[in-house]
This record gives sequence, C-alpha cells and structure tokens, in this order.
Amino acid sequence: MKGHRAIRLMLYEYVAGTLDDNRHMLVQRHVDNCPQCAKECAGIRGMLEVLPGQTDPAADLPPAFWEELLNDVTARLPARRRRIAVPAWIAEWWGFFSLPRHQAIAGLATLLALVAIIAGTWLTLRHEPVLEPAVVAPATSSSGQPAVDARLKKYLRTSKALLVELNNMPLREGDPIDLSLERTTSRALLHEARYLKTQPLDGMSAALIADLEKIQTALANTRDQEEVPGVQLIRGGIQDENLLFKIRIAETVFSSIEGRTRHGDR
Amino acid sequence: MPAADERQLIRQAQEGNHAAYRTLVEQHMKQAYNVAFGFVHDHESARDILQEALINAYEALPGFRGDAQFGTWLHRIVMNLALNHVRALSARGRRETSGSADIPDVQDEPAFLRSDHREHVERALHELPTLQRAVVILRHLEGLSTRQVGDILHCSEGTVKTHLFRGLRKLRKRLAYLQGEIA
Repeated sequence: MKGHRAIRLMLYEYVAGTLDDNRHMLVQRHVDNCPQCAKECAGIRGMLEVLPGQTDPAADLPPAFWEELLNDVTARLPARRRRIAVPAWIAEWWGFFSLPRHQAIAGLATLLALVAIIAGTWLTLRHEPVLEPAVVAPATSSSGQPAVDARLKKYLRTSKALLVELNNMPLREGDPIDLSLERTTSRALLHEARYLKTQPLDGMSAALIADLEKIQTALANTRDQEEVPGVQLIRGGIQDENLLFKIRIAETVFSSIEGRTRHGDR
Repeated sequence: MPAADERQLIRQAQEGNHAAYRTLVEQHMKQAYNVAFGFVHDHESARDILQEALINAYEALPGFRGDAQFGTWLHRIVMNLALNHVRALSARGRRETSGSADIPDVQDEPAFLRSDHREHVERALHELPTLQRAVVILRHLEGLSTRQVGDILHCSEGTVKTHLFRGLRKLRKRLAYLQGEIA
C-alpha cells in the first residue's frame, strides 16, 4: 500500500482520469478512507473547472501563418560550413576546449601555475650570479675557466641523454634488461662528476651533480642482466628528484649567461 | 513521422540542409507554438518566440546528439525563451495579456475564457514560481506526459508531480474567489 504522500502526488492524474486501472483503484481506495485526500480531490476538481483545459491555439491559425513563419525562419537560417576532415591532433587539441567549463578552467589554471613556477625559477636562477657574485660563483664565464664550463655542459648533456634513454626503455615483466651500455656511461659520468666537484661550481650545479651521482651510482652497480623492478626503482628516483627538469633548467640558465656574456663582450 | 526518417532529417539539417530542417520543423512547430502560447498568451509574442527558438535550434543542432527526442529538445528551447520573455516583461513592470487585436476569433472558447476570469487565471499562473508554472502549463495546458515534462525540465517524474501538486494548490488558493466550490 502506497503512503499518503505518494498518493497525494497522484491525485491530479486521478482527477484527470489519466491513471491506469490499477493505480486508479489504489488511489480510489485511499481517497475513500482519507478525508484529507478526499478534500484535496474536491479542490483539484474545482480548480480544473476554472483552469482552462488542454488548449490548441495553433489549430486556429491559418495555413498562411505557418507558411510565412517557415519562410521567415528559413530566410534567417545561417549558412553552415560543410564539415571538413581535420587531423586527429587538431581534434584532440580542440577537444580540450570542448571540455566542461570547470575542467577547462582548472586545466588552464594548472598550466598558468606551471608557467609561473618555471618563469619564477628561471628568473631566480638567472639573477643569482648577478645579485650575489661573490657568494655563488657561476660555473660559466664568471669562473674564468671555459674548459670547466665546457665539461659541465657536456656532463649535463650526456646525463640527460642517459636519463631520457632509461625513461623510454621498454620494460616487459619477466624479460631481463641489458644495461651494459648505461652502466659504462654511468661510470664515465661518475668519474667526470668527481672532477667537476673539485671545481668552483655554483650551488645549483653542485646540488644537481650530487643528485645525478646517486642515479649514476645505482646504474653503475647494476647487474649484466637487470630485472624490471630494479630499473623501475631507478626510474622512480629520476622522477622523484625531477632530474630531467633540473637539467633543462640548468642548461637554460647556462645558455642565458653565455648569451649575455657574448653580448657584453661585443 | 517514423523515428528513422526524423533521424535522417536531423543528420541532413546538421550538415546544413535548410530544406530538411524545414521539413523537420513542420512536424513539431504547432506543439512548440502551443508551448510558447501557454506562457505568453499572446499570438504575436508566441510567434516571435517560436521563430527565435527555431533559429536557435538550427544553430545548436550540430551539438544535438539525440539524447532526448527532437521535439522535447525544441520544447525546452521554446520554454526557456518564453520564460525569458515573461521575465523581461515583468521586469519592465508590464505584463502582456491577450491583446484583443492579436487573437483570432475562436468559436469554441469556453465561456470563462471570454469573461474576466481568463485574466485572473493568467495572472495567478504567472504569479507561480517558475518551475511550478512551467509544470502546470506543460502538463495541464499542453497535455504533455509527466515524463515529457520531466525531460523538458531536466527533472524526474516525481519532481514534476510534486511541482504540479504544489502549483495547483497555490492556484486554487489564489483563485478561490472565482468559484465558491474551489476549496
């Protein structure tokens, strides 16, 4: 047996006679025993007598009215460009803008925050040697050792290539991985790092070399046939320390200082 | 019109075929007109609203994915425009009622519609909260099913029934003076 509230919501249909037989009987039984709903029914009945019933004002309008309306509408319809096939990457890019507004805003905000962080970091590092030349000596031209600068740049370039290669290496569970090349490269890089640490490096470069040394040490100690979990562990270290990002930042800073130095020499 | 034919017309109209859109609209324009008229009670305004709705619908048609029926989708556009129209009139402090010059002669109008009652009923209807008014008009005056009204208003059938119940109850109180038998 449906409750009083549920029945009450069916009273309009009951009075209008649009309920199916079962529901009609159900409501009928309830109304017979519920003075409140009986009163409600009487009220709705009286209301329907005052309220106009289903109307069809459109039926009273002449065919010319509709013809004219359709002509007016058709005349105002804009021409639609035919759909052209667009490359998949454009469709994907466009899909970003078709996202619900809140998602697009969140995405845009994240992008702006990322740009602000990168720009802020870059500006800070860029001004570091200028603001505090005595405290933080940049590894480039201010050190007055072009040979050290060149070796540091090469060290970073090789380290980046190594990390990128390790990150992109396909891993299949159960298959052993040959890391002999990476191991040799890492050993050479560790040797180079030891040399660089003896040179007057700026704080950023010294910290970066220290971080890279940990990864290179891990790689240098890998077995001939490393297993997937071991590689994943090293990859995790690269990602946790944001090493590729840090290398790129350092390279950008060095390029900027080099460019400024060249500009100042003219 | 069979659903397959309608889908075909929709596809053609989405590609810019005006003739297909015209054929599609012919199937739905009268009921859409009645929906507009139910809100504004004025033939000229109803025509303007329908015309605007048909143009808006054409522009929005490429985004129509067929989640609802085309008729329901069109009714929703008409209803939104009609509500905006009524709101704008209210904001300007004047509410359009049936302009005698605009309404063609209707031979079979109920007696009360030819009397002052009509204006009272219209005023009482327009004093209802938006959703209750929309439900009463669509369900009672336009004779749409509870499910159709729910599709148009994006709400459940239960919500439609609740708004209908409350709307009718308020109308009854406001129009109690018209007939003694209204409780």
